[in-house]
Amino acid sequence: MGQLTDYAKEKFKNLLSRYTEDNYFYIARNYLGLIPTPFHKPAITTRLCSFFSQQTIQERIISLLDEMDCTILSLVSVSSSIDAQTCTALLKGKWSYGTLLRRVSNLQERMVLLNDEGKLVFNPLLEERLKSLCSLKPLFGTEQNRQKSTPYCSTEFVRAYISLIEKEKKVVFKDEYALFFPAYNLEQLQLIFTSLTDTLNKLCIIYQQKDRKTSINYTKVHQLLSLNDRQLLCFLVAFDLDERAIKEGVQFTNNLIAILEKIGCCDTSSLKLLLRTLALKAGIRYDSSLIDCLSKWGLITLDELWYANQIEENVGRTTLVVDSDNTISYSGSCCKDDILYRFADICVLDRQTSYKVTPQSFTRGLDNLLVWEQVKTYLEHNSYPSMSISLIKLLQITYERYHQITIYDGIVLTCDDRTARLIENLESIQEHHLQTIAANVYLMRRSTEMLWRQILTSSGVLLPSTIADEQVEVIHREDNFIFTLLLKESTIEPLVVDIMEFSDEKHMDEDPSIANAIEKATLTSSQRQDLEHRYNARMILIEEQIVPQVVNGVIEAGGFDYQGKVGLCRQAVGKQNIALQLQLTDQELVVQALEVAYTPQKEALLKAAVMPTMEVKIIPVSKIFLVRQLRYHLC
Amino acid sequence: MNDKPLIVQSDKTMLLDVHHESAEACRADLVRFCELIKSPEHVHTYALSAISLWNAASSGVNSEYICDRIQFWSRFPVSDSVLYYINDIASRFGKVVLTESDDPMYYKLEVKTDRIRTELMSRKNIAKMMIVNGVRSFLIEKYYRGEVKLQLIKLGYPVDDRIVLERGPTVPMQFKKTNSKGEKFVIRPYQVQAGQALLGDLGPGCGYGTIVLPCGSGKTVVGMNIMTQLQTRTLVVTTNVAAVHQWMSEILDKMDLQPDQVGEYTGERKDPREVTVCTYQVLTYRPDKDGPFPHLELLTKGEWGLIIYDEVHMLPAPVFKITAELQAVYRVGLTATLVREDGREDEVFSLVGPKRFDVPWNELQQQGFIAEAYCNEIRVDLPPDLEIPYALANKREKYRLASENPLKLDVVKALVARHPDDFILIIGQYINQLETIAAAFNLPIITGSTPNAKREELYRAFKEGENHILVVSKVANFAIDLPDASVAIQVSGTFGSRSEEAQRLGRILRPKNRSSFFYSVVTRYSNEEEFAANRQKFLAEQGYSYEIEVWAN
Repeated sequence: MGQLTDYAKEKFKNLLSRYTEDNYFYIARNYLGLIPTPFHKPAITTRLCSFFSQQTIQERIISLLDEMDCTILSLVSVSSSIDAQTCTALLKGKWSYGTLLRRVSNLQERMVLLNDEGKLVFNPLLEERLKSLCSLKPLFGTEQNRQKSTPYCSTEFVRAYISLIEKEKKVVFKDEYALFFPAYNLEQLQLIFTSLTDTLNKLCIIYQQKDRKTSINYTKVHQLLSLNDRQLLCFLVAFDLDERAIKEGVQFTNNLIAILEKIGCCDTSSLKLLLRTLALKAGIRYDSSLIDCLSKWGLITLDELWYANQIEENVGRTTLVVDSDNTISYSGSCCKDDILYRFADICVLDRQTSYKVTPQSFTRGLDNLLVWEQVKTYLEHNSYPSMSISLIKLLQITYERYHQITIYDGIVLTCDDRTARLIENLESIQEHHLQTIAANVYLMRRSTEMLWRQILTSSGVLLPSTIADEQVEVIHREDNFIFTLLLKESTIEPLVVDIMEFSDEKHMDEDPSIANAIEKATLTSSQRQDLEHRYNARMILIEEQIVPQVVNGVIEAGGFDYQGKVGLCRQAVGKQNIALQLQLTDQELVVQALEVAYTPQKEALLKAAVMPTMEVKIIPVSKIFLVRQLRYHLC
Repeated sequence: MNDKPLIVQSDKTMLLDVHHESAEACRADLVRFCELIKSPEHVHTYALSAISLWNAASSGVNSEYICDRIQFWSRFPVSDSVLYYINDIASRFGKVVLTESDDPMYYKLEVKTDRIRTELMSRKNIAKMMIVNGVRSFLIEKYYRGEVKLQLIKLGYPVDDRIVLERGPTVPMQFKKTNSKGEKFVIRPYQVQAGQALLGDLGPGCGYGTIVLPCGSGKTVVGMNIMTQLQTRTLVVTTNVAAVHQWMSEILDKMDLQPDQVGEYTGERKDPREVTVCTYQVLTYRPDKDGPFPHLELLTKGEWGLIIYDEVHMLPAPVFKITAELQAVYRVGLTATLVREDGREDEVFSLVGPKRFDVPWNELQQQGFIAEAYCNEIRVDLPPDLEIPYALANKREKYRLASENPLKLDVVKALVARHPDDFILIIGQYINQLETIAAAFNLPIITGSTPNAKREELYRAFKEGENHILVVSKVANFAIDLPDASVAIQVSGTFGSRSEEAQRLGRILRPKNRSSFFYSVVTRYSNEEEFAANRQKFLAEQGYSYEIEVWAN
């Protein structure tokens, strides 16, 4: 155990001093014994701090923790900020609600958890030791399988996707695209493909032109691809979740990736618990579509269990292999500035990814404002020496041909002599040729640009795209805000999860000497009952706590003690930190008492809100077999 | 990731880094259960397929071994789907077994499960060929052996054919120690390996298949080697009469067969002997469109112990059908380019037999068994007066105009001048164009209409150095051996035919003391460029890259 810092002590005191008098003295009397009046509260707080700073006390508290305690502590640790009610609600699949409510409040009585403005926090004096007991499993399942290498929506996928739609000029998914993405099963591929299309469309990264062809905003694509795989997934999931809580969505996904990486796999209920917990932590709304969203982008895969997919963040791209058939292949992930996908057609995205460079793919790149020198330098610097010589020559020739013609805004065409001869002599083009401005410079009809382009192309002319910036500007105005914000928020570092995956099973270590001491102590029956109750609640750590006092009063009534039951119900009415655990003939309820009323026949009726739904019920006290007060909220 | 030479892809292709120190050892494993798909300079692509796995299974290579080898050589963990595929597909082999039956008219086909039986019976085209002989047993007429196998393969059930092929009548034959010129004759290692790969131990599952070797690498010798192993009556089917004569001359030059044992069966001469060489044309000739094929009987009734299909990628449709009936005969297909523009490569595998041996072109080039070749694409402009006609023409006419670009003649002249000491072939598609070129140089020309005797004479003159330039049409695309040719100038071709391009290059690949040059002259700014790009695909995949030269008019 490390030395306790002053900060931890101060924090402890600070938290405790904010407790209500009732709870404060309940704790103080339990741990320090009788508190004589007049008292000095800061002095009592200091005594409590000293008490819990003692190594023997801490050892004892830790030894009394069991597996259920550790699971609750693990949840608190993962969630960072959670209140008792939520904690109970999240874990209720594992234990009954009443049991959980009782245990969460018990951990507070045992000063394992403290309350910080309604949220559960580790006792600062025990924090390090408690953290060491926390683990992701069994909180999130008990399976020990590892992550899978199932493909997901990676930056490499986005590159391949962009290359494909640039070539096709359409975004409608076709089954034959599976050939380009053999690692993806068809259903998954279609889902990712269409979802990505949808997202990129909404962000105006891709957009439909008037002729229904798809265009790509490469500035944005470049920005998007500046993210690594993990950040891209954060981006995509966050955009799907809630556009108004982008930052939270990104943090949620980042957190999730880190934890999934550690747990490898889990069953559906554990996954839901994890998602609920992290959603709560990030402050986003959880709903059942979240699993679909994560599955869609490939963060998780269902194969009986849910498997986390391995996100490859730091696998750099190998040197490009340029082969004689002009395919360029590599493995790993390209760096953010890579431009291959912009001037080559995707062949296969797999362990080894390959693209094919053709004059058509290259001219498409030039049309999209790629600069020849940039391509040339890229090939020279990223492939083995001599491999790319032939390819560079082929592209050089294509570039020279491409460069012979320029079309400004679909209206002014400057060209080489050969094209000039065609424009001047081809009869079919005359109606589109408005005027000859100068030698080899023509004023063309803008409205029929598609037609005269077709005529010239079929005559063997390689026509570049029209030089015009108008469309791009429009898009910038439309949506920069969300895209930029999302991009900024997604540039997030990986999270280090300092919680273990598994820990050894923790059993409570009982100390019979305390029970013996209680048995031997001279106490009244109510004092003994109260002490035994606190002992059973693991609140008695040392013999010095065995003093003749009643800290709790009567907290339980049952059987024929009708008045006792009524009394407990009446005491609990309106108290936010007291719940009633009711055993009825056929069920157990945990309620907050709202009112005790009587029928004309003088029968007591308890009006109560049933936790956690807070549905209001009226229950005749006579139907209650046992009433127990639960101090579920110590603050 | 580890330092291994192989990357196994999800689509069951395998990429071999040929520069890795273990590449050779890895390749030796892969060829037992994969097919070589392409072999450019740096990364060779192999593929697992049902056929390759069944072929491996039939030669005793089981799925455990395949998975083990793949995992051993793989740089990354092999995906479960690939391993599952191997186990699933390989396990189908042996589920349907073909054996001899008690009745000499029939074979017995046994299936291992009721499910397969039900499936076969529910397929009309299969059921009609089978007679139920037991719960899971059928009889099939011997005639249907090939057809049943073909249909079952299409269904995903390879037949474990345990019937040993029939040995034909014995004809003793051996290689000579020296050829007719007194030169020592040595068979090359890969030629021996190819024969071994095909014949194996001559047991069930052996003795038929396709051997893929580059042009100029000596496929004829591979065929002759198989003949010497089987020592039986042999029919060689090849593409044209000149090729028939070449086969005959090679056989007589390198084997101890006497001239009266080797016969020709062509349109001109029908003289079947113990070893007969014929053309596909004569087999598929018929006097009228709907009549029978009178010469196909040469295949079926010749008591052949071995049939060699030279340039098997040319196998015409009627021969496909007959080949299906010739399943009891040892047979070998030889080709350099098993690519068919009609996409029927698979049927070649099913009927003649699967690919048994394949070797990358650049490997033989490095070993000096084929000549080092430099490929060039020369782009020349159309003359201005043809630009408008070209612009107005339809696609086919455009191609023709571009192919016959008159400015190509200037390029040819310059290229001929560039290679004064070489033997040059000028190859084209269009006779008018070739005649113009021939006239410009005052050169002889060989086309489809040139009589065979004249062709032989011109080939002889070229071989013996009397002419060092020969203008040829597509008749010289295949199977013509002109050992000294070192330059080929292609002025036009059959649209985007990949095999034609490769075969034309093949004419200059015989090893010699100089490098070979292949020039493809295409018209710039025309659709001939696109077709040229397609034509070059096969060679590019074999590691040949084209240097592009823009011709200054």
